[in-house]
Amino acid sequence: MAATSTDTTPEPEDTKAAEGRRRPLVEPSEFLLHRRWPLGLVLVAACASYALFTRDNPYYLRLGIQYGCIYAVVLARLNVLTGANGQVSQGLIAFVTIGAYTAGWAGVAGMPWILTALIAVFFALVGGVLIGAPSLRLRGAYLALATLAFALIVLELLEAMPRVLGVPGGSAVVLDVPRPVIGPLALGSNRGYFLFTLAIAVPVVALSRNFFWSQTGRQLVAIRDDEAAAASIGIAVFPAKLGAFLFSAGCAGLGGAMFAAFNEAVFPEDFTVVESLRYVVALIIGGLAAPVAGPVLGAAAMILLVYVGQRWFQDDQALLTGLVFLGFLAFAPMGVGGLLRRGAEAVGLAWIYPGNTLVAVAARRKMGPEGDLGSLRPSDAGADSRAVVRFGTEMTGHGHLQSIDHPAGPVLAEEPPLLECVGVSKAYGGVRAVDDLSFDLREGSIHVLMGPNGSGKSTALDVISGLVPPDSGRVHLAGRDITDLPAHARARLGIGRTFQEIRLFHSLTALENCMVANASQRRTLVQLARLPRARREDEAHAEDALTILEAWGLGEFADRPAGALSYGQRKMLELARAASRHPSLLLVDEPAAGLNPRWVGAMVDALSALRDAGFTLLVVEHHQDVIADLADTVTVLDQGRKIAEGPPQHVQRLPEVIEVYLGAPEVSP
Amino acid sequence: MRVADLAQILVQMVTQGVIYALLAMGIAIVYRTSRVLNFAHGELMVVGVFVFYVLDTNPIRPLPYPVAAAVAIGVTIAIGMVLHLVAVESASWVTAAIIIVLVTAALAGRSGPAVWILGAPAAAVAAWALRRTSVRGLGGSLGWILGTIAFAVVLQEGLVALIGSSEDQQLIPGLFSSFGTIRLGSVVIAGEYVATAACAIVVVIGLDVIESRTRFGRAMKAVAANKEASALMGIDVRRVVYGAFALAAASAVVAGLLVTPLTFAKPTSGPTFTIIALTAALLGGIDSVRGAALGGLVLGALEIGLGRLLDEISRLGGEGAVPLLSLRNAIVMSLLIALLVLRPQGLFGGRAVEKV
Repeated sequence: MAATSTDTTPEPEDTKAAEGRRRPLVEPSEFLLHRRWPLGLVLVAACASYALFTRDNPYYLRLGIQYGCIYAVVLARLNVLTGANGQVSQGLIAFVTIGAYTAGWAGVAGMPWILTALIAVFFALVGGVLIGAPSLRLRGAYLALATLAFALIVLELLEAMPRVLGVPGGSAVVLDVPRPVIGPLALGSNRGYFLFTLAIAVPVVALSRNFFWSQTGRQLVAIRDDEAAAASIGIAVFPAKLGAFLFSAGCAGLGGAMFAAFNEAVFPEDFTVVESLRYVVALIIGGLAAPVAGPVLGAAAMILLVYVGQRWFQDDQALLTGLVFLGFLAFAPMGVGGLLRRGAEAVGLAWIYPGNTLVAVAARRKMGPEGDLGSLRPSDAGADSRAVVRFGTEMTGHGHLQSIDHPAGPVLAEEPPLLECVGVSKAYGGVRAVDDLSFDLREGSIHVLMGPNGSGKSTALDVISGLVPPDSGRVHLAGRDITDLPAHARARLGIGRTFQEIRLFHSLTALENCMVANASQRRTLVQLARLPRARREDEAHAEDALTILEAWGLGEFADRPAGALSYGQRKMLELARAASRHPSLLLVDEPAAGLNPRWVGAMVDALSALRDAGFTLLVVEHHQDVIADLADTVTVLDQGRKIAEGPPQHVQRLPEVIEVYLGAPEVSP
Repeated sequence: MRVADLAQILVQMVTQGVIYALLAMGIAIVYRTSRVLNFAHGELMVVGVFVFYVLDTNPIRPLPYPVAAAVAIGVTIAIGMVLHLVAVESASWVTAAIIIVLVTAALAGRSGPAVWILGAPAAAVAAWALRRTSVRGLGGSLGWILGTIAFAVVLQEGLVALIGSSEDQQLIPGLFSSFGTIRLGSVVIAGEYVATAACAIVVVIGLDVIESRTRFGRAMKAVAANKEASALMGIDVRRVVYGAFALAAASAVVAGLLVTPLTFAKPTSGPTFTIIALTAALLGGIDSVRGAALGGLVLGALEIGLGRLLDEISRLGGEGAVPLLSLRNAIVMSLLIALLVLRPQGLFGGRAVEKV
């Protein structure tokens, strides 16, 4: 369907895109804001003044602690999970409950606060593993429902267990939870405790913000956009999702611990599904996926909402909350944070946002002040093939091209072929998509899989790249059996791929699409702390990615969301993303499908340039011209079976191949 | 356990099962045509029941049962369509009008009905002014999940604001409340349950006939299979989707009118029924109306049976034994998680469900 609707992608779009938007990528004042710590300072000052202004008014302080700081901690968690990773979890309240109760009990038992907090986080993590490990395979509404069920279990058990266990009074109340004592500081007063929660909230929000601006964060967004494509560039999807889930469970547990010590008691009535929903409402108001504004403004909005509700809507507070929720969904689904961002973009302040700054930094370094990105217009010829060659050889010259450890046998007469498929079969229902397919692939060549629609070409690629397990048969990469490896592990071994229906991460920019494919990265914790070396590395990634985009003629579109590019550009970007990992084997699925002739030419140039640069390609295609131009070897498939193999000129003349394409009496429809 | 008890339990299991089947079918009908899981299904049911309750039992001018029920179904169908407008199509003008009307209602409750002089025209003006605006929603499944949840909250809280009592349980008058008991030898069965079950079975079969035998049902199937192709074949997809929402809303009210006389109802019981309906539908297989109905049957029977079993077990312990009954919901929810993980297409679903 994608192919048919995009078949007609008009050319004018390309030229229009190239002509419009010739604006500088670098704003002069951007430099001042590149170090963004003043923002955090302002935040702290604002919150601290909240404490000063409200003096000893216990009501405002309560609001500040409960809906300000504690909400911010929990929202930071929700933001990473739902905003970045797109998981809709309603299990939030379960983790807050677990945290509050474990911390409460530990506090009553006389442990110091820091220990109770650690215990709360620990048990929240245990709960997170319990529900997350099995159910994270589910997505969207199914995950929402599974986590909701988990929350209900926790709440039901909370209500039921005291009766089952015969606790006097029959309800799970924890009383006399002590306030934290830190050295000589006793935080009995709410003012002291407010500053304490603030001191926790600010770093937690900062940490969650870094999720968005680090490689880890980009990977989470990539997973949200397209799991299969994420695996194809070497992202281990499940551990990343579980990591985000656990980070959030831990934050929620911490929030629970803060809540328990604040109230100096834990009551079961404080934990309801409705309460859980309030967090979601707060985040929607603050701005889903707005790294800082989401939690901070969300918490601020909650203070306001509770205040207004208690003041003017006594009995109808929940109605007010629901109406505000509905209103934001209808009029500002990206929340206040989204509105602010739109506003900033409208008045030309878009560079405040770090995603764009990264582009600007890279652009300035690469281009210098006089940098002219217009010289690399994609409308000229798609990818500039010379640039691709230069880029490719550069990378090979630096030894960047992933090399496979060949089994070092001194007497081996012949190296094993790069890729070897032995008797691979895959059936869907009763249809044998791939039937006993065997073929070899030599290094440094372009091998084309050709055949009519439904002949099993794409399934063969899916089996080789690991998205689909074969029913039988083995796949070897450079002599190593990779049949049982998952897709991301194969990607890390050096298999890259593109998809027939383009699979980019549409909410990431073109630059980020390339950056997220970068194989080298620091440990997650180093990134999240945003230590200088992590930041330097991020900038280096951005530079690399920009170099790649320029080589592919896409430099000008670096800061455009991938979803906003034209069909041909997206196709090229997908290839660039895959090639940027320097895979030892690049699988390309129908590179020419849906492209107009000019783009087809550019694509053929790009692919042969890749081969010249030392890449090995396995291409699925059925355009005869493209095959004739490109292929070193052709394997012809029909109904999942190999019917011919050899050089293109030879194969295209075989009667059985012609029969398959033009139709003999018994196969014609 | 005596045989007589067993018979009564079996009747209860069937009754609850059939009513849950009705609820689950509503979820499946909507999901098949629009790929939306309606997180406001239970709230639709509760609103319908309370509209009926107010019409039928108000001291000023009580309406006869059938009239009140028909009006309640009509009102809920309208609300179901508004739900689609607001939560799925994110039509801002409807949302604006709803917000202004409900805020006015809340304020009017305190400062008198004079507020409506301002509120009503304001709502009309806002709706007119915004009739052409469209804001891009959140998109994807996130959009309608949060949209239906938000609508559910507003429905429930609006009802609470209007009825004015969130925790008071109301006894809803039932058609069969006056039925006595049926005696078969030593076996005694409550006639109310039998009649309710029979009535629900008729409605379930009716829904199935609509779904599988009528032109509208075939149109729903076509839309479920492929929206674009259906549109090209001359099916008005939007009308089918709205029809599905209407059918689901109507079946929800019927289920509510049948179940609430047996239990009680309060304005806040919506979420419970939403979860029941979703669980039942997923249990059976969300992508088939019959599968969902079977799921409802299983869930209802399981709840009654498990509850009774836990009760018997604790009774064995004699005086001071642990009341295991309170663990029932936790057990059912654990089963749901296990099922979602192990068999997302449901017990009776044939093919793997598309993961939304």
